[in-house]
Amino acid sequence: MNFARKLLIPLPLLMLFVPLSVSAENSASSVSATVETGGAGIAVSDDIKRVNEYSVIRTKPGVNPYGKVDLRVREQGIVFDGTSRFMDSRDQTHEGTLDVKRVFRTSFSYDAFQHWLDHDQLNYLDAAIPPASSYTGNAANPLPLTPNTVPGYWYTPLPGTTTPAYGGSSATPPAGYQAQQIGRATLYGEDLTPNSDFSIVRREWKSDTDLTIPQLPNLTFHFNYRNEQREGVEQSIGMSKCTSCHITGGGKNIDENTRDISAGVTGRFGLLTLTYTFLNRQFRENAAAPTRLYDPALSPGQAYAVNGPFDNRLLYDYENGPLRYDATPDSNKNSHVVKAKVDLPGEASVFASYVNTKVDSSKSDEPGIFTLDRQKLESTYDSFGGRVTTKVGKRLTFTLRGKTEKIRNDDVGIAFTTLSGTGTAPNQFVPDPTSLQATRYSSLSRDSYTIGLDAVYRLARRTTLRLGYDFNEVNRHEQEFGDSKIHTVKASINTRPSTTLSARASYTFKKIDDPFVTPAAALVPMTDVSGNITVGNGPTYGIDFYNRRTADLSNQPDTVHEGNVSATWSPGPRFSTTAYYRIKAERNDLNKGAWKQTSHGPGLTVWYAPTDKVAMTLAYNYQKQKTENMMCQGLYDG
Amino acid sequence: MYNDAKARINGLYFPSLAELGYTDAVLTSSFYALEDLPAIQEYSDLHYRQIDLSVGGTYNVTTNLFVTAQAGFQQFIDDAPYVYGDQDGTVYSGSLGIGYRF
Repeated sequence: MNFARKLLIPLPLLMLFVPLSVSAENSASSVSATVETGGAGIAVSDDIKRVNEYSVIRTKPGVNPYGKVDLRVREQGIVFDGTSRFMDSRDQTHEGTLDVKRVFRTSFSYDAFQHWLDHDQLNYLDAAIPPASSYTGNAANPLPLTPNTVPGYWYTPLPGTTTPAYGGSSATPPAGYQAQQIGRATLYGEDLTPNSDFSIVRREWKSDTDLTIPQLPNLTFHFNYRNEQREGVEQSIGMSKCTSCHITGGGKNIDENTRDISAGVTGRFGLLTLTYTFLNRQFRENAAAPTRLYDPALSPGQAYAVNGPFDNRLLYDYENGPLRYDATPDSNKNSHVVKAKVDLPGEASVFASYVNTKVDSSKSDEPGIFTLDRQKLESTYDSFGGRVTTKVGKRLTFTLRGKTEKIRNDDVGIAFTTLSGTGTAPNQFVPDPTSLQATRYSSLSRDSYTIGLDAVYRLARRTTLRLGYDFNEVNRHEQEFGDSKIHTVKASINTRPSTTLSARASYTFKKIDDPFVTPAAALVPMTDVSGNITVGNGPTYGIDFYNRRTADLSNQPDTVHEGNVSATWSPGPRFSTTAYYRIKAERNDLNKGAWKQTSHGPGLTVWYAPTDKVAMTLAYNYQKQKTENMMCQGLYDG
Repeated sequence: MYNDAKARINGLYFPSLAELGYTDAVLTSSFYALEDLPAIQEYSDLHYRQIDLSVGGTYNVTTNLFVTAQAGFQQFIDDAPYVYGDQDGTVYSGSLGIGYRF
């Protein structure tokens, strides 16, 4: 099938070449062409993936024939331009444009290339807390904790106990002490396909066609088609947890197809221009999702047993066999876009647009683990936009802009399968029944309103001042995610004081009220946790840790200052240099701290052309970024 | 083309649990100390160099007939291998062709 497709792909192009080549003999003045063929090859030492990431000769070592064709035909109002380049089956480009008396205009292309992908070796994650046997301390000889002497449990004196803390291997604390399990946790990475090379071959067919019927000269019809195929293998990383954090990397087959069909019409009626476009997109992943064999649910140090006592703590583990993960859902998209523009006298114009988009993606249950209340997740987008531009006098231009957006995304109900044997020993808790019927609320659902005013003032000849203000309000459907108000003020000046020198300076200030944050994401007060984290006393991550967090976290700023300056000096036609500096300062004052980030980016480019056919470019870019942030450190004790 | 790129993170600082006000005996032991985490910044050192040289020419045998040749040398030098291993690599490329224009 693929072979047949390869033969058929260039067929339309070749069919066009044949009559045009024949006509070249009869009217040589209207035809020009270049045909080239030969051999091309590459030799590679060491790793090919980075040095030949996007190939331009061949995708792997070897030699093969290549071919190139450029063709231009102009005859009686018909113009055809075509180029064809074939290096190997995974590195080729074919393009053609045809204009038939400006009534029918079409462009079509086929493009294929291979992208070598990175291979994460997963050899930098390993960490472990040694098992209890490495600790030899006792009540009489309470050795301190060090990374190499870790007991399974640490006994902390309760009030009234005067003897010091020490470690041991029993979950039951001695009288006067409380116990906390701290030993035997591990984190390790494992590359299951260490010798695999990952790559994706991308092939795209595309055509854009405009048709203007002479009987309807005000209307132009548009038809566009795009088909993108991605095939290959990429690395997929998954994780098991319980006995240890076990991170594995394996291969994931990719066989994705994205097909776009769009049609529309543009109408010109005097001062009014109207455009309507409909797009239908279909995405399919035809390869099966990778599967993963999860680690057994075990207490650290225990031997594996079928239906072991820890099976009642995890919804799935080794006994479930290979399970799907890292699946890419199929999806469909339909979009309608309407645009209208009126060009008024005096360089004034009015523009309006409406966009309606609906996307659905497929979801599926995992039998025996969870079920969903819907098999299609639907998102919708509606937007109205408008812009009015007018000129006041000879030097001042105003633009007033506005846009409303409504985004809706389905909430999803998830029903987890009840674990058997919950609430039994050892150390098992009984889950809250409501936690088995969860709802995933969408942070995507929101209403957004934007209004802006821009002014452009010509200060003097070759000097322009631009001022702008934007206000954007985002009302999220789920109040937990909050609402945001964003004020943006912009100012810039462009000047060209002489024929050899030009410069630009700009400043942007943003004030964001309530940017997107994760509320109560970290910082459990130790007054709540101390003395209550002993395994066996029944604390859970949800109730005893997550629900007691107090600090909001975010990497989104509530205040932004950004400045840019650049200057270009071109003393002659063979030399030009540009210097620039960009600075950006952001911060967010959160309830328990602040997130701050400052970046500096100076740079210099120099271009020199000693002769008409030789040009040199030197570029230097430097970036420095400083971030101050509160982090949530995981304590990975199983 | 020659490209020399370096990137690194430094100044990574984590306060100790004591600085954060935690006094619990277990948590403030060296086992959970945060002071060692700045070692992470050593992983961030990245340094690579790229060389891309190519030369080509076309000789017009007649007004219509020409021969063309191209040679290329690309090298990626990974001076700080980390997550993806040593990505050093060299590619030698070449092509020889004949063409006709009309």
